[in-house]
Amino acid sequence: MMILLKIAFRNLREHKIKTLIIGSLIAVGIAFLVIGNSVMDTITSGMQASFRRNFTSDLILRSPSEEDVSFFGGFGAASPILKDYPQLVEEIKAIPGIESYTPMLNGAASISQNDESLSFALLWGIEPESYREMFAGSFTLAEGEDLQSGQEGIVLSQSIVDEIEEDKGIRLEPGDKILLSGQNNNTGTKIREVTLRGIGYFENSVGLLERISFIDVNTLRALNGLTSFQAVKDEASLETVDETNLFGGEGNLFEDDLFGEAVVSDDASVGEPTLDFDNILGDTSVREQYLSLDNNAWQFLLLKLAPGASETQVKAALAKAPLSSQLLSENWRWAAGFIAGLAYGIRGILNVVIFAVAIVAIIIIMNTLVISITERFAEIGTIRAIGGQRQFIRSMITTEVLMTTIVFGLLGMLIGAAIVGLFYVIGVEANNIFFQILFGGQVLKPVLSPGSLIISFVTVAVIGVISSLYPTSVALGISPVQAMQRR
Amino acid sequence: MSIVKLLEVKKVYPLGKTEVQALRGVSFEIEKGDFVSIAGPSGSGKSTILNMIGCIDTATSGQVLINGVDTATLSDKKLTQLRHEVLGFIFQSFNLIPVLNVYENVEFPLLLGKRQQAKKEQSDWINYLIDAVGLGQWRHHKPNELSGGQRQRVAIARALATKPSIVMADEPTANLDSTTSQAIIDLMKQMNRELETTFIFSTHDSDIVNIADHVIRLQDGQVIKDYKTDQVESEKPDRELVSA
Repeated sequence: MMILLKIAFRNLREHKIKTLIIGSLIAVGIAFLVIGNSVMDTITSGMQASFRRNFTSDLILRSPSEEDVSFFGGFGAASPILKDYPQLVEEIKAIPGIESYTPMLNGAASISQNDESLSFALLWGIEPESYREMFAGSFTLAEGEDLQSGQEGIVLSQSIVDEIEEDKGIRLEPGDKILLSGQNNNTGTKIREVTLRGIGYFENSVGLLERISFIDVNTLRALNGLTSFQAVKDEASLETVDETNLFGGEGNLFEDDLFGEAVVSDDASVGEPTLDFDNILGDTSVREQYLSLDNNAWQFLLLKLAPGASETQVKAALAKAPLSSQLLSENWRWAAGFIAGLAYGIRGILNVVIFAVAIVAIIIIMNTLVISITERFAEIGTIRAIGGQRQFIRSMITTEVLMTTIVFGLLGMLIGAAIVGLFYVIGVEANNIFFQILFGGQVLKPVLSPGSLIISFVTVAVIGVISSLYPTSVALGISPVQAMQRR
Repeated sequence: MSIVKLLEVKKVYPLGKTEVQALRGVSFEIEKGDFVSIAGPSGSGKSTILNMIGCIDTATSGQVLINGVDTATLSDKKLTQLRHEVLGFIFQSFNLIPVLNVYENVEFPLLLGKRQQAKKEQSDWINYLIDAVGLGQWRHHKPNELSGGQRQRVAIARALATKPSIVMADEPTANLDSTTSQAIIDLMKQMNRELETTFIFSTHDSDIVNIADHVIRLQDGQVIKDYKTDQVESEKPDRELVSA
């Protein structure tokens, strides 16, 4: 073994220029690999930590939906509400490994005041106590007060308030009344007046995340049209009841037709609700009952796992429980959606580029080695002639290649680590919204990740081994006779 | 028993669409301890015969026996092992490993085998060989720091490192001046006597041929004379050339 290392080392030293060309290529490639993967690891791990800490916790339970739904809300498709919420909570409480839970509802509304449209907000309806307990410290209240249970009101995002002040010259203050207009597929447009209770912000949030504002859940339910009737309707639709028959032939309960042909019977059941025109006009209690808000309407149940609990095990337990097994258990990556996809997409592109560079490196190393071997025909033939087995020749070539790739690979890793360290000290500034979203803030401080070092080392080793295959076969093809014939 | 025996060995090389007959049925025997010269003009088949005996080339027909073993029956691995344990090689162009110094070049064949001597014993043996070839002062020099004669001395020491029964030398003096050539042949002769190693070398230099105690003369791929030099001139057999 020592002789192999000795010959390899001295051959590399003897052909300094060739070694330096190959080595530089490897070192630069590996340095980029370390930097790229460290930056991407920092981004994804930072994103994961930030999303879990600030927005999603460890697991999110939601109802299946045929449409793409967003965790953060918006004017698109809304996530269906969770069925049998009270029973679901009881079920969750019994599952080991879950430390705490909090329900959530989302939506979006435009903000106006005094008939002037001001802005729009992503709305999160929460259960204030359990939410604050789960996400303690994630949201900073800059002015006013937090939402309290049962209290009507909204805590607006600081950036929305600042934007309104900048664009409209209106400074919203806690205690102000604002109008929220929401649209939903159930009841159409809904307008609610709410009191601005406070103004606050999430640390390092950018883009749409800056627009997240907390609202009392009943106001949001109203804006989203989540009434008891909606719950009944959802239930009915789940049982594939023909909606046309259910509502007397045409129209929507909440539209003009409500007062047309439909009849509601006293014992309006899920299976055959009928509307009695006279009764509705005479006794409005049933209508009020249907129009009352569904106090159990939540779209998401966020779960925080106990320290040391395994996400996989908890997911397995959820999959076995009667109610939660009908739900989807998601994690931060689903919630992050496009942003996480972007980060992982960039990582994918980075790895494709690295793969391409590795292929080029392999071809260059391979060609250089083949030239080097043809120059050493006599030497290799001599070794074979004086008793060197094929295995010795194979080991000799492989040792040279691995020595080059590993030495320069390690050098590249060191350079990469040094540059990552430098970036950490000076910070990489995000000068546009794209990078701000990706970095999860204004400045990224990349940290050297063990994963990037492992990937780099494996890449180097693979490049080394693959590069040596063809040159080795050329070397093994050299006959000892050639050593005798070369003069 | 002969240490080397060739029986009707023929070697045909393809050359484009034609064939070149390098050996046309060569037969001879070499005894242990012989100092053999294979002589003849260029193209007579000297190197081809050495390649056959050195187990680095195979005969088209006929048999090459080393210590009674037909080399054609051996696998590549066994042949390599045979070359390592039984044969030593001295090349015309020295063929030293350029990145190794004199000591390391001589030591090199010992590192190729499985059996390892005690370190001290091995080191003593290598130093003995280096001193024996007169390069005691040069043991840490690289080949490119040595003269042609010195390099060939290193090659001789290297060929002897594994204590082989047979040392093959393909025109070992071709790249050397006459004085150095004489010194190299003298050294080989000395090693032949001291270690009782069989030396087989090819040459076309008549002065060197005469130093050998067993001469095999070739012409056009056939043995035309095969004699021991201690035989009186009248006893030296002339072989009838037979067309192949």
